[in-house]
Amino acid sequence: MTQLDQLTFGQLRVWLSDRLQLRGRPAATINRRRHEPAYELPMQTWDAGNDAFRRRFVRAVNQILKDCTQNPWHPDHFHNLAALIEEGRIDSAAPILKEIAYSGRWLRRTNGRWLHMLVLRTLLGLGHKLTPKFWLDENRRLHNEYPELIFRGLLAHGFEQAFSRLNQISQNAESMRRILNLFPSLIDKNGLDKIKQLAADALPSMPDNIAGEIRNWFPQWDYGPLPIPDAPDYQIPDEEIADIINQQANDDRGWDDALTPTRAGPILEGSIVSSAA
Amino acid sequence: MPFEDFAVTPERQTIVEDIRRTTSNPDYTLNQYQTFDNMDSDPQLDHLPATDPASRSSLIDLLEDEAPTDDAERLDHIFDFCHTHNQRGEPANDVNSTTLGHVNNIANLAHRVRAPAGETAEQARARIRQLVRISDPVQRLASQKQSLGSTPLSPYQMWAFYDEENDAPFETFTDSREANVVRLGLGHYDNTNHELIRWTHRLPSNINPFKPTAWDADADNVDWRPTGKTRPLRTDFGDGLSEVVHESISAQDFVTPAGPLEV
Repeated sequence: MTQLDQLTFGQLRVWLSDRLQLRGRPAATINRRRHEPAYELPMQTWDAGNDAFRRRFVRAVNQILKDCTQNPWHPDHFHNLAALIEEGRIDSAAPILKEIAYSGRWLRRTNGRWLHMLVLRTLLGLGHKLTPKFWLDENRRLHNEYPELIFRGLLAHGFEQAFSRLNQISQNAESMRRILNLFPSLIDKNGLDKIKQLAADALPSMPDNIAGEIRNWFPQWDYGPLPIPDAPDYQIPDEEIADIINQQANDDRGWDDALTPTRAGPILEGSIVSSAA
Repeated sequence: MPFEDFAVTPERQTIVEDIRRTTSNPDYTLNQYQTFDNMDSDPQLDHLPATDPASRSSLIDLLEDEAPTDDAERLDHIFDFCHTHNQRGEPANDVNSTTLGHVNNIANLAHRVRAPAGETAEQARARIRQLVRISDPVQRLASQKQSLGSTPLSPYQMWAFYDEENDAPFETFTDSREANVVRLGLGHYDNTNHELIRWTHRLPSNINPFKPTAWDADADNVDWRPTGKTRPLRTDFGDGLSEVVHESISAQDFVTPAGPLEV
């Protein structure tokens, strides 16, 4: 196996470029049986290397990135380079990434939005929060294809920024589902109660089908139902009132004499809404 | 024909000795030349003419042409040769409709499934952990298919196994990590901290399975044997099971959902 710290700058640049694009001898020693990511060994070597090697390594990574600006790689391969930069915390790549992001130069290319997203994701991963307006503008440039990234970008500016704009960045049920993919780690870091309350408070401003995705997500993943949103004119759909009552009945008494939405609505809607108010 | 039969000149004999030395693993005390012996004895590599699967003479030819100057370069060439001759074994067409079992690891899967997503590696790992821990198997399968989409779950070929006696390949396994790793001969996960999951799948019509050859097993897999079956790493963990290699599948091909292996 090639000793990376023995390679010159030029050799390292070629080796890394081939490795990350799964080409030739540099990619030969990837442990395919355990599906080893292509960037794993270079990152470990960079982590453990001496100062001279680390300087050479960063120069090589940045040169590869500069070369990419005119001829971007396939997104699957650029994902490997992006992961190396992000997880290796190679912050000196940020100016090049910003140039690509601001110019939008890749957007008109094949797989352009995917590549552009990878650039933004890497910048964010390096800790570049940019501005809330930037992320909302990028959502338009990306045609709303990566709402989870935009949500993360807004989240970097605080929960309020992100959750208050959920209705702008989540334009259909699928985009909401992509955002909800982030919730397990949000809950891990911030606690279930806080995330539930933030989600519940965002519901009143959202269309029913998208709000339904959020409301259903929590019980679906065994996190229990959301609290009733803190909004005077918020009305829970009859179907969900029935679901909540039935769930509570099952939990409390072990019987399943189900309330249908038709039965539950008129009986309960008024009292729950008035108690929320 | 073993390597030696193709070593018709002193130079080619030296190359064979180089292959044996370069692929040796002194840590594998059972037989440090196991990888070479696998390549030398795999009956699937005896077919002539030598292209499908590529015979041992092709590897000697390659090293003769490339003339590597040291063992590191030589080993890279051997690995590369193996990869360019993946899935050249006997087609296992009778397995197309069989339910196959597979073990994978969460960190590498997370890198793969976040390729087309704006999440961090940590967020992708948390997503997968949650997906594999849903208690209701029907909901778990549906959620995994929805969340993981049609992204191929590896950039490389996949290894899978099946139980000829049972359509549920993991039926005779416990959920223990050790039992799965040892019985399936997954030495690359033995004594590591990789967080593992397992699933079963059926191959879509555009993916064909093959019986693995020593080239599929790569230049460093001392735990594999050319028998067509997995080789348990230790005794008392059950018998070996039939194995195949094939192109990567996606979560849409799952028969039973991915679930965690317990430490």
